[in-house]
Amino acid sequence: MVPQHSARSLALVCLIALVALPACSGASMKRVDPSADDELGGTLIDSADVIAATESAGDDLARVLLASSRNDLVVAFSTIKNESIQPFNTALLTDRMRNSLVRKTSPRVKYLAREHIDEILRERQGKREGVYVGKETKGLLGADFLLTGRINSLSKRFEGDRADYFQLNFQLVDAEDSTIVWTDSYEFKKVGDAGVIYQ
Amino acid sequence: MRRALTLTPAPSLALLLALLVGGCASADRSPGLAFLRSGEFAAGRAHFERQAVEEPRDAALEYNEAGVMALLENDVPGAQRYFRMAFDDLEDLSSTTGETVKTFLGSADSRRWKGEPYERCMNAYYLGVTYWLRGDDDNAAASFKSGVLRDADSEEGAAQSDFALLWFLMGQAQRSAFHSDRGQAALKQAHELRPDNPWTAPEKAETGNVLLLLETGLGPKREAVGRHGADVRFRKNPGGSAGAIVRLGETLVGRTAPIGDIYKQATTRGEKVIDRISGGKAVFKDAAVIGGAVVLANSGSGRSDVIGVALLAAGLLASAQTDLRYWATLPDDVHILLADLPEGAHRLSLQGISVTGNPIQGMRWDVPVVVHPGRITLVWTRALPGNRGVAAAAR
Repeated sequence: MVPQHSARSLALVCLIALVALPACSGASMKRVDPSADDELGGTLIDSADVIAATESAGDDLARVLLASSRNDLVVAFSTIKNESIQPFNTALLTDRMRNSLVRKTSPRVKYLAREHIDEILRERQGKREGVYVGKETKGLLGADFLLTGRINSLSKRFEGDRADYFQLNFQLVDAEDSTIVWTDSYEFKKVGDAGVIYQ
Repeated sequence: MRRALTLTPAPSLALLLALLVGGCASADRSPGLAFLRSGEFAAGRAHFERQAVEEPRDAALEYNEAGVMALLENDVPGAQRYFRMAFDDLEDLSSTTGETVKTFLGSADSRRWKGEPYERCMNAYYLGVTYWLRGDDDNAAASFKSGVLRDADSEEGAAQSDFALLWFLMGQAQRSAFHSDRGQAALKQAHELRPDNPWTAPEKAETGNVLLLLETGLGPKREAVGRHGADVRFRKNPGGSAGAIVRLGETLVGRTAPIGDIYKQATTRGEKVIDRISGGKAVFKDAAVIGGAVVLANSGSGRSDVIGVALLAAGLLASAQTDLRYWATLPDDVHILLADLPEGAHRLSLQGISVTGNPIQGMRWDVPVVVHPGRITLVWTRALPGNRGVAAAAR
């Protein structure tokens, strides 16, 4: 039988070793579901919010566009304004919306890749000048609608505690008369706190 | 029979030594500063990158330092990568149980570096500057706004969210990005905080299409003072210019005015939990050493000797010294100036001035500016130690 004081000493040594030794295990990797909350926490926009916001908005907008009697609608993607506290690449939202809409509504609805307009113009010029062989000439399409949006936030901080409320808003705007023809909003509020040693 | 409480020479000497330890110490950030002083920015950047790899718990600090070097090299995308990595690291203030226990039992710098609120704010400032210089006003505004919140994170009372520089930049970036209120609320707050700065006045702050940022001097130095170095003190670095007179050709544009006193931000940080931990460990050190010496001096058995030695060793080995790591390449102050220039390419000439307002001999440099329509062009430049001006990209 191990004497009681020896067991206590062993436990103490183990505790000290656990605390004092640096992590010596190798780098680890685990693939996780991007639409689920992760273990890292944080109160800002993360992948789960991007997916939830664009899935709901993409589904709804696709339904609205397909309900139209017209078969020649043209949509351009405009910048999503970020007015929140989080430096954020809004292309994460735009690209996901585009993927969803193209998949669900093309070819009845056409989508413009305006961010590539300079390359397209160069390519057209090359074809017109005979540098490249072109099959047919077309005019550049104008958009019937602009898909745009805005991210807003409201935040509180107190002694390491934090609360962040975010709104991710999408809008479809008539590119002729500027009326808003469709909107969707995704919102969340997250609270968190700082570890005691960082307060 | 009770023995009289006495102290024998050996433990007394140890006790004396332990109690005398204290004074003042600071982390050695001089290698990085040497690169800044000598203008070897690429070598400085490589140095900080190496440091980040060698000591991952200081990665956010080293990335911030590397970011400053990259910005001085005029590599704005590179600088942004560093500041962004540090930004993400500093956003996460969670701690594991192991890290917390280790900090309580070991030295204060065994935890990951998260910086003081003023350092976290300056990380947000630099991230915003790099976004702006790359033409992304939206995310510049988001970064400055996040910096304002970081200032609110742990200070108290009147010092909360008093970083006028960040309010001003947030307002200007929102004005440039056509946000809902065109930055009016933030610019009003900046003016209330720094009414002495003429560029914050509404008639100036809400006009102009070029915003010049001039960083001067070197930021505060962090030192450990008091018993066992358990207390923090920030020392202001002397020197640095008092701003600059700005000209476009022969035409006077104006004189820069200070808005971001980094030393003041550092010294209004308020007390942190880690300060109380270090203070508690200093008391423990003294108590353990005194207790160990008393037990040894009055020991009547081998078991008492072991307890005495253990207490003495625990007292001598425990580290009560506060965390000495700090962002050394920060400026002492940030000056601003607003100008209304015609669209196109220009060269602004800066003449450094002393605190008496006189031109500093040899401290003159040019900054290229390209003014684009429909937005505010940001110009970032720094007056380095040795009265040299360094210009970075303007956009």
